[in-house]
Amino acid sequence: VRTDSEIIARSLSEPNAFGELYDRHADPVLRYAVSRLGPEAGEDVASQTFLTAFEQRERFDVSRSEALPWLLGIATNLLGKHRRSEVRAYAAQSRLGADAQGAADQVRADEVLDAQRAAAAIAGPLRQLSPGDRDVLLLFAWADLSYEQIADALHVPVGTVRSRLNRARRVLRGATNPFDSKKEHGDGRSETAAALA
Amino acid sequence: MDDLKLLQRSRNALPDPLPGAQERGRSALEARMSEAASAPVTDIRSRRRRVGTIAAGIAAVAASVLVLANIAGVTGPGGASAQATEVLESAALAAIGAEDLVVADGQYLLVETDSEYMMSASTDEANPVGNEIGVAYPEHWEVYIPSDSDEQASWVREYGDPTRFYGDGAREYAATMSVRDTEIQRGVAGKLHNVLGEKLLAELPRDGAALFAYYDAEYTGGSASREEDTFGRITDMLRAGNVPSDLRAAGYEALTMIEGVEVTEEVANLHGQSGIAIGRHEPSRDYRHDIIIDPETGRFIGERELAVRDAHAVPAGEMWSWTAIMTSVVDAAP
Repeated sequence: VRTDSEIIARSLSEPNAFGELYDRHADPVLRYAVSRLGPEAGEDVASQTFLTAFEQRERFDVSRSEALPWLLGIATNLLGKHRRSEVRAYAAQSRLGADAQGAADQVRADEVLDAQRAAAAIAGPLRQLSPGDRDVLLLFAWADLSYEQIADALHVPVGTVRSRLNRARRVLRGATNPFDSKKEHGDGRSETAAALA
Repeated sequence: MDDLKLLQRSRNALPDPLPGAQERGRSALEARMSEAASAPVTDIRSRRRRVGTIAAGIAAVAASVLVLANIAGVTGPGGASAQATEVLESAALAAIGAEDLVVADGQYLLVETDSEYMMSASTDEANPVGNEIGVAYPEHWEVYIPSDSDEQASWVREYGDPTRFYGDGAREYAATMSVRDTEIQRGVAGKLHNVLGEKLLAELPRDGAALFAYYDAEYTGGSASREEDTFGRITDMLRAGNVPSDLRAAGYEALTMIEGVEVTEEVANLHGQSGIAIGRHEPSRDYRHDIIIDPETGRFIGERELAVRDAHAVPAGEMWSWTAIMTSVVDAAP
């Protein structure tokens, strides 16, 4: 089995060889982009990620055998252009906490209920994070990259990854207190936070 | 629930890609690959690898470590520096002698925290290195803990407009990311963030060595080192608003047993109140984390994360975060 870097090296002279890299990594890249932007914008970003990677393939550091962190780093950079819509989506998801509860009560699907409660609970804190901290947190939690892989993806030292993750988790811990509560916002909105105890 | 477990659990609620998304992506790529395959051969040479550049950057940052003037270099018997051990033991004694605030039936213990937290970002997503900015946002928390911790508590959070800006474009960036808001949450006090539940309060040892052993044994591999993680979990406990004086004393003693704990005299909390900083610098971090205590009363009056090197546009000597904590007794809660 060829390594990712061997595929990329070969694609410099045989461009169509790059298709094998797509088949290998399209699923995690697509899922990561869709998780952050939704199905339509996420699909655009995932597609653009591979086109960008193909154009920049000669810049890939061939001493690294795996290309997924590099691809997710490109995807993360492309996500930046959609940052505002991502933040708006988290705000909407946070307000949907009560709806998620109602829908799940009907279907009695515990896993869905849990996941929807969790998604509603974290949406608010995700919105509060700085983009850099959010990128690190979600590459870690949703794309399953290690600290070292995130450092590769975002071109930052591993120590920076640790400190960003630490800061993001602190915000998350501070805002997702696991108890039944009524949340009232300064502008008069009111919402029921999900019970996660 | 653990915050990462919560995030991972939420994955089941994330949207799925649309049917055929992968195939559409491959078609777009195939079109581009075919264009390249039919184009005249160009001179594609391996470019210089990034690795060396990044390693050089790390070395340059490491060379600018700030030296703190008042830190004792001698390590005490327990792991912390000798000076830190002395100060912490003195604070522990003061804490033991301090009287806890009395919260009568129907009253609330009010814990107010003023803080500033730095958020870092990049103004150019395609080239994050060298385009980083830092923006400090203020928060005001009020936690109202009823005399009976099974009763409902309230937590008020106010987010303010940014106060400090670092790096080119930081003000413009902050203008697009307003977080100004106020929210109130209510719930059972024992489950509230920053409040210790009755069960935990009863379980935590009041002896410093036993308390250290308790936290050390709970280490599950988080943080950059075991010492950093233990320091963080003990200070998380000390930060809680309803820590009785005997537990606070044990907490200070437990900190003396952590390798690398040092003391800096005469520092101020966010409100300018003077105290002594007890902290650690984890080598991989851009900042050192200190708790600030009043040596006279042993009270925990704030915290700070002091930049020890230039990083993310924030110069050494600035605060990554800074807090002031005040406690009082009030008759009503919002």
